Amino acid sequence: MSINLAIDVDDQSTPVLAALTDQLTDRTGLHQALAIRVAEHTRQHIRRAATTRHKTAQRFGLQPTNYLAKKADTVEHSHDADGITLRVEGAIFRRVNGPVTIRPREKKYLTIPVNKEAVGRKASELWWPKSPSKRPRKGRRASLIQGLIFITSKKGNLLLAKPEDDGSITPYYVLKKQVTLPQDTGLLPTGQDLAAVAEQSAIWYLRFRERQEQARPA
Amino acid sequence: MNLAIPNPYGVTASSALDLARDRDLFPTAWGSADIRQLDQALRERAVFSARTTNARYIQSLKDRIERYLEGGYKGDLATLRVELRQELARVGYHPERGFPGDAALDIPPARPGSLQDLSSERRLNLILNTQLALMTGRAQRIAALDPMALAMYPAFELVRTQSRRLQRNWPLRWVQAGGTLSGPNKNRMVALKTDPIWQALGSSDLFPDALDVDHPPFAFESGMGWNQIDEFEAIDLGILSDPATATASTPVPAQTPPPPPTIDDVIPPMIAPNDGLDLGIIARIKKTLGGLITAGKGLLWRWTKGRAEINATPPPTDILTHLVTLAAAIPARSDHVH
Repeated sequence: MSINLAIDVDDQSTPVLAALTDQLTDRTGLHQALAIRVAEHTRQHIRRAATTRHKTAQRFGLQPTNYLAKKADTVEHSHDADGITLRVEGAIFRRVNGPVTIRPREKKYLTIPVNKEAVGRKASELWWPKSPSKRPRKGRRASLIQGLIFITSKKGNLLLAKPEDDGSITPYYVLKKQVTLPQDTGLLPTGQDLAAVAEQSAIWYLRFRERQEQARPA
Repeated sequence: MNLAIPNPYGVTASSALDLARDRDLFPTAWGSADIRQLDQALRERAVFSARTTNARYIQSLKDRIERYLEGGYKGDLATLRVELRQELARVGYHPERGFPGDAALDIPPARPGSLQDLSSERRLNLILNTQLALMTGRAQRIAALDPMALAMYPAFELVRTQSRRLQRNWPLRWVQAGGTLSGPNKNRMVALKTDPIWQALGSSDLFPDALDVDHPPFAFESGMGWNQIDEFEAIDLGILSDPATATASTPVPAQTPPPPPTIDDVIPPMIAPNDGLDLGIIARIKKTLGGLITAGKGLLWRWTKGRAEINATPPPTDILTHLVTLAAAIPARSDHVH
């Protein structure tokens, strides 16, 4: 699945880019200039988006995982005479195209953390040193052995929870067959935004070529 | 114009991943301080971790670092931690006893759960996150020093890209590394891409937590990264001189610091691409579009002294219409006199 972000080139919104596209017999250099600027713009856009997407960490008062900020650092670009390619890595960016439904692969349920100790951790990583008898033993189901049990909440949600010594229950994960994440177009720049960046690149390229021509020995 | 973003789910190759793959294994009983004595080039070319002597585990670690960089299915931090702990158990690692055979190497025992415990969450997160940051930082540096990228963005700004509960004082480090804070509030850490400050910021001679690299993250778990700064902003910040006003030939009084270089001093000479564009065409485009460049959808570029300004005040609609007409009327290439 690809994300398509077309940059509309026309005489109204991108006249310099349109003029250059029309004039150049080889657009490789222009595309390189576009790719460099579009990649930098996208990287900074994702970093800004990352600052407003810390809901889970905020809810539990935790340090953000910086997942999106790390993804910004992986933005790369390539170009040729036909166009430019932006490399953006991370399943999260599929949400730009529309809602994304996540289903478990190889497992029965998705584990959605509802306890700060569970955030960013797999269920198999949770165990309690004070209860050695509940630590994993070979050949047994980890979630049961580690002291986590399956229960159904009053609302009907299936939970993975820990029975406490005082008889209470501490939920750690809600178990879901699937989760649908809403569309999030703000994760990447819009086509209009990128058209502005592309026009800026075209103006820069014009100036760059002028400097190159002037520096060339007569 | 075609802008393709291929499948963003771990199937596209990346230069950071290529850099990570192109490394050898270096099992070692040494601690961090000893490893720092190694040549930087050797450290860049090898995967190692302090007091990790088992080659099989280092290979496993290298594989997981690459999967973390790929970022696809099973490339998340928690999954990789679980797998690495399983591998440590397979090769017989114990925090207090180390790997089988470590007893003869005088490796001190690690407190379970501490940073010295190779199986602890802190240690596994640290090595995976540091390796990811090192590889992406190095790939960014290589791409940013491409001649055209250098010409477009001659400077870097050191910025916080990841949040940290306890933040180190990077402006202080910047000054200690020989940098000058820029901007109206003297709080921006901007320097030319070729400035030696980047080497100094990552030097363990100056900062004990530094990683001896000249690119982000510079130090363990720094959360710092780069934004690229274009020529005009670099001139505004005093990092570069404006070529139009530079007076390089004017003698500089002995006690006055020399003026910053111009963009032409910074950018190495490049061969103009043979793209069919010559000075005559450039002049005609500028003549037609010069002054006000364009407006549309609330966006405006103004060309002033060879510089594009964004979001200048929009001119009246009739002028816009006229400009758009002019832009559309740029003659075809064959009309130009060469």
